[in-house]
Amino acid sequence: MHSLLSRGNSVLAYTLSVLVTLTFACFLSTILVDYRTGTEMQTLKIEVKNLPEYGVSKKINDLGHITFNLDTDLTSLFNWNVKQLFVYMTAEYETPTNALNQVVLWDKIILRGENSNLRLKNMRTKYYFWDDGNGLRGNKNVTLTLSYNIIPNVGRLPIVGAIGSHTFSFPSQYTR
Amino acid sequence: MFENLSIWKWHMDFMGQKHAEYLFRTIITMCGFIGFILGYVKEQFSITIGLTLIGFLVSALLTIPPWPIYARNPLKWQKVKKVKKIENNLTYDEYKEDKKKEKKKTK
Repeated sequence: MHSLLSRGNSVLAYTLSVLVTLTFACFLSTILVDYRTGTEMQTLKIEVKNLPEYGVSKKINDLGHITFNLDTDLTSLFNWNVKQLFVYMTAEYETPTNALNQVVLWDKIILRGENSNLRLKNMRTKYYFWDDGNGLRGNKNVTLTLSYNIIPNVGRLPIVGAIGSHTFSFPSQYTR
Repeated sequence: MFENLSIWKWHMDFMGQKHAEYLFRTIITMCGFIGFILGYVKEQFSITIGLTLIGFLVSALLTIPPWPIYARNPLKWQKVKKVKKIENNLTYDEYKEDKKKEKKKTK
């Protein structure tokens, strides 16, 4: 504290200590928040095609084609320790070869301040619904779920599953 | 000598240092505390960070430059004691050289 530089050092170091403490307190204040919310999904058009997937090989695989409605309000998730949400919709199903298949069909990044009340009607999937074989045709139990990854200012990066899912079945005939 | 050259006295006295430290700690802590409450109420963490940084700027301005308030209690040094003036004010090396010269002269 005797010279100009040592005073500058003290003030800066103390400011940084205070900032670290406040940031940690911010993390503690949101550690027990329950981030689950409800969601409603419907599927409208459901088709399954049998096409060669050239991206991997010339093998002929099943390609699902669905359109969906998504109805969820994520506004309540944004507290002072949430910067953005990465929302994604997953299809889960079982085939004779795999006990659990998970395909991400659609996602969206919601920044803080953007509209987080999602009322989506007749949406196309963002990514292809490829199966790694012929497991989609006539599959009676395909479940759509919505999850989101919460990107905070400080703290953990939790992946939370929304409450509510939608189960549908694929037709037993290929669409040409 | 340097006191005449510099416009500023860069050093604070001991009481000044104590006051300066108390002042910047109070300002930054209060700003951080108020910022935390405001940020929590407004649901905006950048308010907390911003207010703490404003506190940093204010306290830096108030306590880093050696303002004259911090030089009110100068140290009272003892007066310089009077010492007898030494006549031949030589270093040891100079003393040895002188001795050599004296020897050469005697030779």
